[in-house]
Amino acid sequence: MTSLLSSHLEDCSTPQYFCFSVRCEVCGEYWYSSSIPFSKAAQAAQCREKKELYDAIYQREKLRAREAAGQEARERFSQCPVCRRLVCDACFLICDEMDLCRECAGRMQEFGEPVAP
Amino acid sequence: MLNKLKEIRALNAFVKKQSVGMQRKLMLYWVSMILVVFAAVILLLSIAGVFSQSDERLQEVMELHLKNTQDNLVAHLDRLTAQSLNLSKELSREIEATLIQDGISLQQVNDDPERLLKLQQIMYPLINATLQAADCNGVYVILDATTNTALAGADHSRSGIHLRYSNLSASSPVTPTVVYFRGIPDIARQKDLELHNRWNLEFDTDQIPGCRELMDATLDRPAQRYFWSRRIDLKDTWESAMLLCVPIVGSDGTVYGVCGVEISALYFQLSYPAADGQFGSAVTVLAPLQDSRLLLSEGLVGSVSGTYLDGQETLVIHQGRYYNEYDTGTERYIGLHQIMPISRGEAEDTAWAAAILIPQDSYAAYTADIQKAWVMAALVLLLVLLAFSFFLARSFVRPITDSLKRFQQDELPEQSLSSGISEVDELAEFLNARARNQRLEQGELPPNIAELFDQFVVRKDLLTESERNILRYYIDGHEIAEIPDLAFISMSTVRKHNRSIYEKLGVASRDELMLYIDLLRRCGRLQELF
Amino acid sequence: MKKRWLPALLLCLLLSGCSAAASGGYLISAAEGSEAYSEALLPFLPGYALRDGEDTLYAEVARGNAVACFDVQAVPAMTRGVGRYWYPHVTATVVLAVDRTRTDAVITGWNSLMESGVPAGMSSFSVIRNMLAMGALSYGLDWKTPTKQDALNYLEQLHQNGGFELDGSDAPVLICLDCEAAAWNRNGGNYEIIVPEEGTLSYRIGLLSDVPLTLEPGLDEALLSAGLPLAGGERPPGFPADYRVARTLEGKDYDRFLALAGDSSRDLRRQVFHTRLYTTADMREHILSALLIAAVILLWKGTVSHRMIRHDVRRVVVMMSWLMVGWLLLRLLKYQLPSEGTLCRMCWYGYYLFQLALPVALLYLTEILDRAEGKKRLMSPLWPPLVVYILSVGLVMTNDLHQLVFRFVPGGSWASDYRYGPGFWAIMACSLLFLAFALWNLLRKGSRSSSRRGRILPLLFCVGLLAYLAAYIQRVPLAWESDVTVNICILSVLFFETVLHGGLIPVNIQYQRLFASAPISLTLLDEDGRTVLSSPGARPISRSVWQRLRTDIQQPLLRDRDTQLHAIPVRSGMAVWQEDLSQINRLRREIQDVQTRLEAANTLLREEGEVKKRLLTAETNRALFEQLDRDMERRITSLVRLIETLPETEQSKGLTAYITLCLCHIKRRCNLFFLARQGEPLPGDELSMYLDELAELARYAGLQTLIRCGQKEGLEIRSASLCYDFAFETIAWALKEKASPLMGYLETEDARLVFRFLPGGDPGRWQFSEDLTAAVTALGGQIVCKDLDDAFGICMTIPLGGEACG
Repeated sequence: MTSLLSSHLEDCSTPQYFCFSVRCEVCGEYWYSSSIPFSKAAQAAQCREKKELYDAIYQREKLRAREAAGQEARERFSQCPVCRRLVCDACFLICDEMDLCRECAGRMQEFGEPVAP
Repeated sequence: MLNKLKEIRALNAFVKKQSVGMQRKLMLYWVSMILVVFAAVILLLSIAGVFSQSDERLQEVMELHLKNTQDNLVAHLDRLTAQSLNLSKELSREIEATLIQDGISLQQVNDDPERLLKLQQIMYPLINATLQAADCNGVYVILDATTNTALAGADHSRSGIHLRYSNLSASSPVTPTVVYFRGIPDIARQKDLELHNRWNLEFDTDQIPGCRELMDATLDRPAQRYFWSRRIDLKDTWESAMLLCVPIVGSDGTVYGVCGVEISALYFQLSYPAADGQFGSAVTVLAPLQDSRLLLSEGLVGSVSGTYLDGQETLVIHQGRYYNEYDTGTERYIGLHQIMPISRGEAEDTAWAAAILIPQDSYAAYTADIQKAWVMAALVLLLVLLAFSFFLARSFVRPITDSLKRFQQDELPEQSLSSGISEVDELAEFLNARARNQRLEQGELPPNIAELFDQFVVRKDLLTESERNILRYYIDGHEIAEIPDLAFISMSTVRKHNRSIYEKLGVASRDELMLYIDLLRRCGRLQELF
Repeated sequence: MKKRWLPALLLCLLLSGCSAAASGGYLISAAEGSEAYSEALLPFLPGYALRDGEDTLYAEVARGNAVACFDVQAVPAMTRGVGRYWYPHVTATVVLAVDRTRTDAVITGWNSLMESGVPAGMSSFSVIRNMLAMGALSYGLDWKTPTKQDALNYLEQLHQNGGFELDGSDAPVLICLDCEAAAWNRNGGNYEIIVPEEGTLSYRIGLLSDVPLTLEPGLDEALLSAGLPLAGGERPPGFPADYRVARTLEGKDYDRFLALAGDSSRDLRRQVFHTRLYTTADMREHILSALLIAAVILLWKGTVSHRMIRHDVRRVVVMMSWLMVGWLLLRLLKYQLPSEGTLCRMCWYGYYLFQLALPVALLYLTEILDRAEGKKRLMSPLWPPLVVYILSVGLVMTNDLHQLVFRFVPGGSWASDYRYGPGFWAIMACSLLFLAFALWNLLRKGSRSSSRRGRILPLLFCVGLLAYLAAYIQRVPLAWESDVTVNICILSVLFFETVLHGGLIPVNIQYQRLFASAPISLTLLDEDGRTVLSSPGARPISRSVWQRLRTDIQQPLLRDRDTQLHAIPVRSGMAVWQEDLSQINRLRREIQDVQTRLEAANTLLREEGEVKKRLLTAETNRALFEQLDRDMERRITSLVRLIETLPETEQSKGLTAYITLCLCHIKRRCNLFFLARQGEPLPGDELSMYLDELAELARYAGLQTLIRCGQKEGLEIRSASLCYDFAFETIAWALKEKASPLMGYLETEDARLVFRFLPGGDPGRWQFSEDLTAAVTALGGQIVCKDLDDAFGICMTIPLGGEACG
């Protein structure tokens, strides 16, 4: 799941903070992870000479932020076993036989309750 | 009877066995404690006599008031009497001197207007002085002589001077004007006095009961016999007054006339205002007492504001323990009275009493006020205490129940939950330790474990497919955090499934579930779960 | 016939009904003080029953009843047409009654009353009696030119001297009617009746009616025995003897009297007692002022509620304004009720329903100020005030049962003589507590607010409130005498305006219109990310999106593939609008589509081009071979014929040579044919080589040939092949005709190629082949056979130049 999510994480970071988004493939809405500020944003903006150093720090922190975002997304996204799409909690239904995404459940006449209302 | 007792006992035992919530029990204890304290306080207060002291206080107050009033009255009347006696002495001296000078007796003054005028001129300064000095509103002197014996009512018409104050009102305390009520008008003109609009030349002795007898009697000295008359209406006016009648005695024992002071009803009213106390307005009364009846119409009544008295009633007296009751027939008054002697040598046997009266309604209202205030205060206090106890109990119990509820749900792994209450924390520790110990313990199944297992296994049929899937992961030994990676569902979904699994299988936490699974595995009955 | 009877019958019934009402009429006492007269009169008026007045004088008279009233009421009524018959019987004079049990002051008239300093009062405060007294006083003070102002000044001075009360029926001196005072004396009172020596007025009491009344005899004696002085001048005992100074009104005096004494109650209140300077003092002013204030309140409500976004605050405003309006209207209703009965008291209790609700409303307002809108349940801090309010109202309403709140004698004059019970103080304390809470809340929230106005305005309001309370306690006239209801309403309105202008409620006029008409989906979020306002069609903003927006508000954010969110911060929150990218995305996709298609089309076209090229090449080849076939066909057939005839002929050598020549010619011609397709020019050397070859072969056949090629440069293939064909045909002819020697010259002259042959014979009848001729003509050349002097010449001229059009 983690690898699936990390492949779906889109980068919305700016030089000041790290943020990633995941798109639910059923409803199309984006979910954004909590923005983690870059600890050296001020210094990076000021010192032009140390650009590569701060870039390296940025990348390192970005990796960590990506992992954190992945963990956050893990709380909210599931994979539908039928259509194998990444689905947010609002479109993921808990049915009796199996948990499906909204569309597959509708298609196969399974009724259930969404995980998040 | 015995059956009833047994029933009550059984009920009590039953109630004891029921498990009641903490809050309710605490509330119950609080409430009973409050009620007990309340009852004790009320008992104490009634023993201390807080509730029944108003009557005693009333009696104290009234006795004090009555004593004061009586002292005042006695002093007042005594002073007036003394001044009148003095006046009588001086008048007698002057009259005697004049008569001796002219060589006539009093009888010869009849039908002689000039002599009468001369006598009156002599008497006037004394009367005026007495009026200025005395605390009354009029001074008079009646001579046993008349201007014209030939007139129709001459036998009860006597000459004299009567000076009065007019324009008495409580709002203007400055010097009231002297008015010439009875007497020869020449004097008034000489002294520049106003004539009363009901001025008459002579007195009508029929108006003053007892006056004629006094004048006909033979006395040694004035102080031998004097009296205060009952309240009489002044002729042709709408005023009434009490007159002090002191004989003017000559050296040979003849009574030349009667002199004295006048206290009008209005003057008495203004001098003795109604004392407005917390029990009501207290009215001062000076009235004759006859057969346990106060005859107000024949005495003087102080200011009656605040009551319904009008000064004409007859009050029937009922003695009481703390105070007396005075009944007019339509209204009741409470108060005290005391006999005071104000006359000497009175013909009839009348007793004068000074009394103070308070309307019973106002006293009753006062006591009712107090009682109501007590009751209201007690109720309010009780309610406040009950509410207070309720809130305290709730705030005491809430943390405990919250932390207990948290135990039940127990989704977090075994961290130490601090609930702020040491006992609950210890219990948490103990339970955790026990749970851990249970897992470590080998073998030894108590006898009802098999039954529990059976129930558990039966309940597994309630689970849906997806929940069974999650359960399989648990059986395989995975942790909750690993399931999203294994089953490709979100953590929220996992939590929801967890909750329904716990509910359906009747376990309270993941530890319990793992315990069951572990035990089943050890007993080799794990297959029944699939 | 019957139908016409019916309306007439009905009419008769109606009329008789009316008159029946008139004949069994009522005798009504319309003025206070005339009851004794009415009772004494009743036995002498047959057919009339005594009844209390229910309506105004005019209405009762118009209904046909007989009304007992004063002449100052009756005579003006008659001049106005109400009532036609006036029967005066009794005189009543305005006198001074001195209670001699309480004072012995010497009073003889108005001036001595003033000097004596004794408290005075009026025995009755009904309007008509006020008028009578004022009129008498005016006439008394100034006989000839009575004015109202004199009387008012007199009374004002009397009041200031500490003596005059309007409702002072227990004052020692009373201004009343003489028959009244006499009645008191008969009942045991001790009043001296003094006719003021300066002057006074005597009024008549009588019956006013629309219909003539028949009175039985004996009325005068009855009136006298009832203690009423007659209009003729006889008086029963108990009345003062000297009435000379009393004057009766006549004729024109009535109008002057009405001008003098009108509005007496109001004038008394305003000018003598100086009460109610700031409130209403009589019937007239109540209605207008109440309606005006209610209109102002509703106007205020309208302006304020339009400025509110939050519905709960708006609801509070609406409720407050309706409370205030309701209170005013209830008060108006109560003032209109003539009699002070239970309904009146209920109305009075009803005041407290509104009065107690206002602090609770203000408390509610301050509580909801910084909470989010939308919570349906009432919050827990507000249940106690509501419960207490309901209990208080219940307590007040049931006051008649327990008299805990207001204490009065039941059945007595509860309106003026009531005291406050413990319940009242408890209720007031609770109400003031709520108000204090509300103020505390206001101050607290105001102090936390960021703008300066928000901090200062609540303080100002508190200061103003305290000033008003202090003024009220100190009995400053403006505060003490002004209308408490209106003051409370004004304070509530000021409280709300303080909250509003202190910036504690978000207020904006424009937001709502903006939202309603925004074509883009606009959402307004508060500081916690909750939606406050959204335009129609805007989808809700999820929490993660809001958090992201909050972190970086400048950057637009993708909500999904088709929606982009932009946000700006606004006061206490942010505004988010969504931009629809679907069109752009669609366009982009379309462009991509079109691009792909175009590329595919290009590829196709390119392939098609290549195929066409190949086809064309194949076609060309085929055409070429066909042409070659055609070209050579003739020659090949003749050659085949020649070859067939070869074994049969004797000149085999010549024939064979000729066949060989033909073959060579064919071969070279094919070469030339293919060279022509290639498009290169033939070098001159090669052509001369071919020509030499031909000549060589011709020699084998026995023809002496010499061909000289003077053309060195490249030649067009067509021209070259024509030359070669020409050369062959000439040689072939020459062979046949044995016209040796044959000399040929090929050279370029100007722009022409000239090929001359000099055969050794006569070409005379010899024709070139049609093909050759046609080809030469097509090229623009010619073949000429010339007859020279001793020889013959064959000349072919071909113009040079131009490209071979292929």
